[in-house]
Amino acid sequence: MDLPLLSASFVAFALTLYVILDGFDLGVGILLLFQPAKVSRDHMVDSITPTWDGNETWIIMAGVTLLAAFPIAYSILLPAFYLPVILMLLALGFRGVSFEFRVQTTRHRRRWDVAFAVGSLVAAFMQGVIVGGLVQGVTVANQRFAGGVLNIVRPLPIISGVTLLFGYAVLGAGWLKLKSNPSVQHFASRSLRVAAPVFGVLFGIGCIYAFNIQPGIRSQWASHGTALSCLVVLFAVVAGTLTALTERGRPALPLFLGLCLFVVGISGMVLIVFPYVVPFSLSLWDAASSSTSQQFVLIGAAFVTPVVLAYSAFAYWIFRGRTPEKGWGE
Amino acid sequence: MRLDPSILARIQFAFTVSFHIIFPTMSIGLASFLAVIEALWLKTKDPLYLQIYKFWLSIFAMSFGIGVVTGIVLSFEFGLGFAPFANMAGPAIGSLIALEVLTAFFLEAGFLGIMLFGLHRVGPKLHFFATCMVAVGTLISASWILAANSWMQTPAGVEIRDSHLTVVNWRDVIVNPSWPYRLPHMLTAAYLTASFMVAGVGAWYLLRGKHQSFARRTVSLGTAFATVLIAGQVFIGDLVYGTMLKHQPSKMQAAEGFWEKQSQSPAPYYWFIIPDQTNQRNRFEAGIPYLGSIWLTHSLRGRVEGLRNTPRDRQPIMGVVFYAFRIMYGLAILMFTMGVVSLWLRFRGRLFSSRWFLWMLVFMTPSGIIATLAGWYVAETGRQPWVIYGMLRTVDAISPVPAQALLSTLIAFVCVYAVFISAFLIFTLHIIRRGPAAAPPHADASGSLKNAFRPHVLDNPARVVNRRIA
Amino acid sequence: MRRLGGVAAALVGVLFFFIIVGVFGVRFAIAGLVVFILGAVVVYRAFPAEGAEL
Repeated sequence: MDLPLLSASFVAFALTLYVILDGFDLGVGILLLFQPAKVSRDHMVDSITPTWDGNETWIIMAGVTLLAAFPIAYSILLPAFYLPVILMLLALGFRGVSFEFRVQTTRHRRRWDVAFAVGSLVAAFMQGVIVGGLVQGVTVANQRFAGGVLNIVRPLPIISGVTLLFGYAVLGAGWLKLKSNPSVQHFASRSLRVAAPVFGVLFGIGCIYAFNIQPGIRSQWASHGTALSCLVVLFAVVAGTLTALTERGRPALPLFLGLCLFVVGISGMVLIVFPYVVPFSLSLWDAASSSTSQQFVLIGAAFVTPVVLAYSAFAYWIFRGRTPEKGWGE
Repeated sequence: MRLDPSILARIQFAFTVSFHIIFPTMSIGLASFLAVIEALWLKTKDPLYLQIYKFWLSIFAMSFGIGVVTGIVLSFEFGLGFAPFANMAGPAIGSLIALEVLTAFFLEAGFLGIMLFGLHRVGPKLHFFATCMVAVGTLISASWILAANSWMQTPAGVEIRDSHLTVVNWRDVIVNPSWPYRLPHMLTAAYLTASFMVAGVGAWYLLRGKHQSFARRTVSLGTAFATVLIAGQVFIGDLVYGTMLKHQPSKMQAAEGFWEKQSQSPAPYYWFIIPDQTNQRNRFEAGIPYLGSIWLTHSLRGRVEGLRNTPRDRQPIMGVVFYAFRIMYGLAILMFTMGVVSLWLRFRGRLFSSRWFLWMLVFMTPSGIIATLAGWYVAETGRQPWVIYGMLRTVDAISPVPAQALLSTLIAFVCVYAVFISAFLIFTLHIIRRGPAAAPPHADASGSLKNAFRPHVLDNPARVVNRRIA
Repeated sequence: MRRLGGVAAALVGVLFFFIIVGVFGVRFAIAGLVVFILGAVVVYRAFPAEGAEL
């Protein structure tokens, strides 16, 4: 039983769930900046209010599983991404408290909407920067981080940051198409028409640039060429379909296609990075803790994750359907 | 200017964790309080309970939100500021925190939406279940994180193999020597915090002559819980003291203000000292005679062991530990006094009319928060110079991050957190000024599971809606 | 006489504090805690606050 591999799969699973679930939450937040009508803004925030907390929790799951199962990687990656992680945490903080604070006031609600939107935007951007920084590669010496904190201020992380912004906007718009009133749905379709193609193009640019600067990636293409090519084609097809079908088809279609895009993108990233947990120097097995810790977390995860998924789905079910016009108040 | 990364990393963590602890302390206490109130409402159908529930729910929601986001910071800050510590302790505490996320965070988060927004979507019983799940989630969360921190204080169940820590016995890691005492101590602190918050706000209304029934019910409930809880807390506190005296003697030596290996007999109980760590003595000290021997050695003439019993390079800073401990213990004595007084006033039928007592309650509103913070300062500064007691020194655990980065992010944290706490205080005071909303005559949760199957029913514009605002 | 009652109550309170923090040993501490809590509950039931004057 290859415990490090199982643990890494669980980290990947948690991260994927985070990106998908909080992806549309952050996406709605980003789109808030472009929504001039106050009533619509309230409606947009209402659509994600009852379930955002659980969504955000998946990133903590990924982070602490990394700490428990790959502490060496955790101790390298966090100093390596010191600035984007802290900025992300502060941004997520603003986003989170804005949910509670904005409903306490009418006069200053706009200010909290801006905090909400900017927080979502900065968090999304920083997450993209971290992804780009990972793909760019992390400087390691003696199992300690040996680079500089400003290593992420380079083209690839910046491109990835902007790419993820548009990607989350796609997910957010997809969610709004499913959950909101006709006027906001219309706004969502308009946003999709811009966000989807830009996301696709930027993603492509990012991939090409990464291929050029990181030899580790070239060697991964050499070994997994066919699989990666299929993913690239699939990504392009889905992105194209999404752009074309923003108005037509069932309301759930854009969200579904957006989720497909992310799953394809994440699969590609996994293929590129595997078996490194600190690209491109430390493999899973180099960075893993002893088997007792892996077992503890995996057994806990095996028993508890299905329960978590069940009651999370239940919470979504309770708040299903279109978001009520007047929100969730009494 | 030369900045020291280790000092900056420590200040940053101290700041973020101090700020964070304020909010889960309130949330754990208020969540259980809300569960009790909702249970009473369901049982008695008295609309006053629903009024109390809704009032404290909005304050709870804000506190919970800030607690969550400041907590996420900490789970990454281990690595950001203290990477070598994370590397070493990860296999032990990382696993515990992973289980905390799985069994507690998701539970709270999953049911919080229903608790905050589901009163009209689900029936009263399911809503109460959601409230209970959130309260249980906070309890489970506290258990795991206290296990992790207690492991740092009294590590057990691990071995060093190939220069990495391996857990050999999970039971020893979790049920380490200090956890069984520190957990009830923290939980009781949280419940006390909520009790004094609730009683204090009620007392304020009584003094102003407003919201009489709400105020009387909450002052009664708050003081009733507080009295029972503080008795338990001073008992548990003494047990924690005894445990830490055994496993971390340097902490308790620093806490009491004595330097000599054996103090004079009988020993006084110091309330004020000016310690001089460099010369290992107090420049000034003042206290109550005999009380030190009585409280600390349970005898009339016992001698107390001073900080010189610990080698100098393993001594915590006496000034911080001593005063943090005095603040916590002093507040505990004050709370106990308030409890006894409240019993007496009840007996005399003057619980709501004794103005000096009501004013004391108002001042004691934040007492639980201050005492809890002080207690945590004892715990964490008393553990120094270790981050894992006896295994890893804090100064060896600092991340390879330049001091300028640490300083700029510290400033960023202070600014952002200042916004959070200002907003929290402004909105809370606003909620208090506005007072509890009048309970409608037909005070039921108007949802039902039947309606939950047909959510469009709830979108009826004929329904009166408040959007939880001014 | 009321004053005397208040002073007596205060002294009893102090005594309970000393007992519960373990000055007389753990067994007395537990016993003292139990008696104190039971006493409090008796007061709550016998002297309901809601009927108090204002």
